[in-house]
Amino acid sequence: MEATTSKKLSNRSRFNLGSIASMLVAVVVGAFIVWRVGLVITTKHYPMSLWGLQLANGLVLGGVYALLALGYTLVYGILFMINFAHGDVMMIGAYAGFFSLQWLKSQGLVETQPVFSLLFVLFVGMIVAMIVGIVLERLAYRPLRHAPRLVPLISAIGASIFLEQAALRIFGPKLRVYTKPPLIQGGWDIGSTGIFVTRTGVLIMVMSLLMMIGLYVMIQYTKVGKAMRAVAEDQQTAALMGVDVDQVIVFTFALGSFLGGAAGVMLGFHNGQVDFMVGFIPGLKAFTAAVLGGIGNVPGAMFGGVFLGLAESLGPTALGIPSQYKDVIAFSLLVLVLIFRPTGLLGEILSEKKA
Amino acid sequence: MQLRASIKAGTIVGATALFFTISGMFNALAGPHIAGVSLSHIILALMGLWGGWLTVRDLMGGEESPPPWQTTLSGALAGIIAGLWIAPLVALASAIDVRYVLDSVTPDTITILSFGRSLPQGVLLLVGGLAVLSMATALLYPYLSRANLQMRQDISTSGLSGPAFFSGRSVRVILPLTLLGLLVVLAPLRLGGYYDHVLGSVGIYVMMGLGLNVVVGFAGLLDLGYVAFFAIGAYAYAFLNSPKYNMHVGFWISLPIVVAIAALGGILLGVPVLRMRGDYLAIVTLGFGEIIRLFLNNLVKLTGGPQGILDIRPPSLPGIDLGNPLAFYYLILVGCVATAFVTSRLDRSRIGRAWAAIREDEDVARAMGIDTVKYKLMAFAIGASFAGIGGSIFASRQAAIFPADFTLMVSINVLCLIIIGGMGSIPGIIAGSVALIGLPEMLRGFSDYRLLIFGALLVIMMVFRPEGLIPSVRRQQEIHEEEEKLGIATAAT
Repeated sequence: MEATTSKKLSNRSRFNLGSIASMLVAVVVGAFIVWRVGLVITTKHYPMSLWGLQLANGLVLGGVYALLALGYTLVYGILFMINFAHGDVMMIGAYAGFFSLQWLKSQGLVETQPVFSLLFVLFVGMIVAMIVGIVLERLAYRPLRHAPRLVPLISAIGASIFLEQAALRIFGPKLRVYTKPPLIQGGWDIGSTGIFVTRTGVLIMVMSLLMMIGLYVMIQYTKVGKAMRAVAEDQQTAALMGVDVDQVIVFTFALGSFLGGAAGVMLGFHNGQVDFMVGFIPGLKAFTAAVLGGIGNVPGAMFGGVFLGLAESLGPTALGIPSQYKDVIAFSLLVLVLIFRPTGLLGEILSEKKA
Repeated sequence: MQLRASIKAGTIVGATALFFTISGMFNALAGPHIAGVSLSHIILALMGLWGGWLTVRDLMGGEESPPPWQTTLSGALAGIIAGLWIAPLVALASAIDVRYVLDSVTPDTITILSFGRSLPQGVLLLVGGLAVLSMATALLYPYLSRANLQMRQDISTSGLSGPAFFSGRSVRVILPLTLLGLLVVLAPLRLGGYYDHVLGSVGIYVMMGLGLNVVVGFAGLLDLGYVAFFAIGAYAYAFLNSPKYNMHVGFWISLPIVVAIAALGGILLGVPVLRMRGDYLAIVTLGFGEIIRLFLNNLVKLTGGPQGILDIRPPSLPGIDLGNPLAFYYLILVGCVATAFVTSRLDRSRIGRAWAAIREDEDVARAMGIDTVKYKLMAFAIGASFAGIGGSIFASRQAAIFPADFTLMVSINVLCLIIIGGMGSIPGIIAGSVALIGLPEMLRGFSDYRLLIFGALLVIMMVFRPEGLIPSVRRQQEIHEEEEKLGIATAAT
């Protein structure tokens, strides 16, 4: 008797309105993709070099998104809070990198000490972003730690607007042009394929890979990393085990902003310019990336970032639609992933348990 | 201990003053003079007073208050520390040009901060002035707080012994409400076109706020893509009315069509997200809002792309011209009143109670026999249709709409006004839209800084009064209940 009722229930829940709708969406989206890709393959014969170029571009963008997404995912994993201001923290890092680069140039160090100056610029951007992140946590988020969930979200939105406007007022509205140091100008042709890889792109990929490996090792094997995982798992129990929860949270914000600063400097080199709104769209994208990989999941954020970067650069070509639709692809991907795999592509089951 | 209080207060005040300096707010405030003193100097002086107040409040918080000479000294120290935050910048900026980095630190800023004196004198004057002012509040604080306490007591006793006539609900509530109502109806007649326009904007946001309140406040579904329905409403009316498709359907006939389209949009969004909760719902709706805007921007043949749709006609009534801001104001007012009426009736109906149950605990609500699918979709559809009405009024008022009118910022603004006003509370939402949409419009003179102040206010509001300006009773209880629970939990550990 009990078995039949439960079976009935599960049957019912399998065919409720929500799942029928999602199946419908899946069919429509699948048909659309097959149609467009088929059209592209049969009618347009893009050269290999175009695909290669898009691939390289996607990987570079993906590296930046992944670094930024880590900031979202680290904070979300511990506080279950969307740090809306993270993109703007990155923007401040990009500005700091820009000014330190200009200073080095005025001292002539860029020519004489190219490797050092590059690392210095990156480091300044990361440190400044980290300080901003720590101050932000202290002023805007810590007093709200026990408030209902909407409250820190609104506070984060306010902080985001504040940071953007403060940057506009302090650094002025003009576009700052990031000139690449000679070390990362130009690039290489790969063989005779016609694929051109920029040095900046290679630098971004290598640096972000290194940082991600470093972060992963730190979270898995160091004491702080263990404390972070413990707090993410269960704050109260972690506190009872002698973990200083406040300290871990500050450290998490510092770490996320640190990586965000690196992403800012890299994005500055990649785009060649900085202004006060530079954090907004990449912030949203990186957030999407974090969700794609399963928010709260560190390898997921890396995967999601690269995946999103690739989808964005390869997608419009593969579907044969104008490249202005790359943002539509990013957000549609977000919606679809959340509908079919609410936990993200690599995520654990979070959406119902903790959300 | 005393030193710490001074350093803390000095740092807060100094950092604020530094921020005012580098963001150029002192320059912007230098123009207006009150009694011969420029507003920026007055603000600077207030900051000095604030430093003393912060220090003493910190010192007096303990079990026994320190002797007056100590508090006075601490106040002076706080002022000096605050001064030391900006003095180096003043010195640096007068020696070399820092405008390459700090765009707003102009020679004017230096003149303001050093009071037009030469460098060493000016900086000394700045630091000394802050110290003296801070010391003054520190010295006077005990007397001020005593007077304040006395005054409060006076008020409370006189309130108790007041004539019984004033304590009746009829007079206390209904009279101010009637006066307010008369003001809302009659004042725009004398205000002139610009203010009518501003009030109209406030009204549109009231409608949207009330609509989103159904989704977020009543049903507890966090929707960050509300602008999508606003856009759908606006574009639906534009398609029906403008010469682009040569349909020329009038406002009143298109209104029900627009509502139906927007409600359908709400359901279409609602169905796939039925299983999602909390932040995930917020993210998907955010993505949905962006997708709609991007489509509006990129489907150039269908929507005109970034050039938008032009020549949208205002509504017409036989014999009355509805094309001016005043008429629109009254139209919007009627819309607001209708929306407020409908949503407040909904809140108190069976549907409203079902929403409250879903908001509090979805699993329990389902166990109680509430059809959660139906009520969630209903909330989405109703919320969307109010946004659709708002959108069509917006389109007819602007006469031209562009995708740039429908950015994420609109959703965020609507959500923020709900939260600032007080979620779930209809008077709160009206207060919130006046505060969020009306005041910045009025502060156009200081317009460069209004978004900056807006962002800071959002954070400050969340820290100090998260339940909103005029919270609904239930919501206030929820927030404080949670705090109490946590208070007990932390006390136990």
